[in-house]
Amino acid sequence: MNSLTRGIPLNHDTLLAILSHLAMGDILSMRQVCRTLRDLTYERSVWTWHYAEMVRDRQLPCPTMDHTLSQDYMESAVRRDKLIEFAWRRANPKMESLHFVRLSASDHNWIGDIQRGLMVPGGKYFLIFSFDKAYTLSLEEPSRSPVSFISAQDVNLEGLDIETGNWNTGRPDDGSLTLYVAIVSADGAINAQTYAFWSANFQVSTPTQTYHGQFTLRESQRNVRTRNELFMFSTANAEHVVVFDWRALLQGGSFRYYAIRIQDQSLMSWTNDLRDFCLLPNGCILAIFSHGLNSLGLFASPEFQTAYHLNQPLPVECATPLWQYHHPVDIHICQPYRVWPLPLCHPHTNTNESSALVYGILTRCCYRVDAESEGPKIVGHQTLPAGSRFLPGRTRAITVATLDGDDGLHIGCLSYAPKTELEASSPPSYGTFNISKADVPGWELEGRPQLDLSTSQVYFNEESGRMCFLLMEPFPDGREACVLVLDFV
Amino acid sequence: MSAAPQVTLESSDGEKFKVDKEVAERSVLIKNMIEDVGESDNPIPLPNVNASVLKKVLEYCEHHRGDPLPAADADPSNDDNRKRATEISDWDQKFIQVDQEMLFEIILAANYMDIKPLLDVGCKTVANMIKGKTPEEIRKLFNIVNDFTPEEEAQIKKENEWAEDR
Repeated sequence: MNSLTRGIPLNHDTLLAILSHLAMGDILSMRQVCRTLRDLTYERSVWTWHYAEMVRDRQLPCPTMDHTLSQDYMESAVRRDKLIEFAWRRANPKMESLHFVRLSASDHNWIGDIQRGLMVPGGKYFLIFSFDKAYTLSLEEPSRSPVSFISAQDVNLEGLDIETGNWNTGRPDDGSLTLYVAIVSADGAINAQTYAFWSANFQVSTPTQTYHGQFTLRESQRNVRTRNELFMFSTANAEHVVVFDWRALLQGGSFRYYAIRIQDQSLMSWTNDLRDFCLLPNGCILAIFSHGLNSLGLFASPEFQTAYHLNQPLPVECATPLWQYHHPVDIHICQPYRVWPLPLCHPHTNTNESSALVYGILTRCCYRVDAESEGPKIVGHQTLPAGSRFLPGRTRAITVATLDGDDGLHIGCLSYAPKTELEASSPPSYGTFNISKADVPGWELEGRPQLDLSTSQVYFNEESGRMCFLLMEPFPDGREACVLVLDFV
Repeated sequence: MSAAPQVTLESSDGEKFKVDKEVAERSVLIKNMIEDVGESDNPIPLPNVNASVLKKVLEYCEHHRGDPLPAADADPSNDDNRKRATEISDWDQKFIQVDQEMLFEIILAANYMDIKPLLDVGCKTVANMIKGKTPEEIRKLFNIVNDFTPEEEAQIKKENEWAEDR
């Protein structure tokens, strides 16, 4: 028998089998035992299962196990993920660093025009949107000036405002990804908006982007979302949900789409208010209605149809809900945390799963709803501090409130998908901690106006454990803007 | 009532074991051999497994004779039944309470005879022994010689320290 180590009379295959049963920390210990074991821990197969487990537990929107991923790539992704998980599991997450990135109008004449930001998944880059342009800011190298990234002008949308930018798909687990940005701009006609799509590559030292195309929707939209190849919105009359395949649409020819008319059927109401909706992984649509009474409705999504142009007639018939549920509180935001492209479900995802996170803004309550066929099962709720802002991620949400007397921040971490071994406590678990102004160097510099974080925009990236506050106009004359970066690992 | 079909297995040290075909076929190796050569009265030789280990392996196969067989080409990364460490059934746990030498022999036999559930039980048992131990404790446990140079050891320690809970 070919024994690889003097002490363990096992062969290569069986040693690998043992290694693949070990937790990550134990694999790292085995690496330090002797040369033979060290070499074995660098074999790809030792890490594939850990990587697959991470992708599944973190609900990462990456398509499946990629057989081209190297051992090195998988190991560093798993190690990074564990570090962040441990950081969040502490009662008081350790704040590793906190710094300002200051943008001065003397260098950037667009500073006064900043509309919003967007944290690029992975947390290495921050996109800043200013009217009709977007800039990338490297958070790893804050001394680097923001770089012009995409421009409405380049695609004949000059002078139009960017309304939303959306990241769409990619591989966020390694701190870099390929993403799609949807840019909304009003094209002058009432009720019409144009969406332009870029793919961006943030895995290179200078991020690059490619323009794919644009299309204009006549129907006015709200609750616009893209998720992988699906583009979905509810119509402004709050009656229809439309879903179509935007990638195929850009390529021309036929594309798949469906439209569904959904209404709260519990009330003989002349008005309808579809507040929000989300597409659950099992393909059903969970809708939130509010008009005095609030309710949740679950609808089976219709079959995809083939279309050749955008202006499809919307259905007149109302769909019958699978169930409808009245909730005594104002359920305001319906945030899906598991939305998967239907034909490309992740192999590790149970497609019967159909949970969503629902946030009631008046009661400041967060609910996890398991949308089962016989009715919703509300799996715990969490009341949040007054004035909390709510930043949902895929497996955890962050809440941010200002401390009394504007003395700092009260930050909470709500885990609502306790799928991992380590987060075994039942949902949702909620931990909070405070950051006082004294912790933040440069928060109160002499001669500078006070920075008011309560009016800042807050962004959170789950994979990197990084949070950004965009203070667009800390100075009344708009001469300066800054991004406050918090790291929790 | 006719007797269940039986096969004879021969260990490396020449001992013969007559067992039900159904029991022997828990081993994918034996199942394939029977399929290849057809029914035969000749003993099936297992040159890599000695009598004491084979006896133990057959005890396992006998107990699990009715279990559903694992899918032949299951993707290891997509195996929902695979739970790391600890989860070993009571009977299996008692069964695998053997000295280290026998444990390793069972693992090798399970690997050679291609009995995946038994290989898993063995590997999980070893994994549980390793769980939470420092590199030095692992060396002691398995009598492994540290063949790193002091510089290498310092370097690898620095790169792989993992103080957090596992």
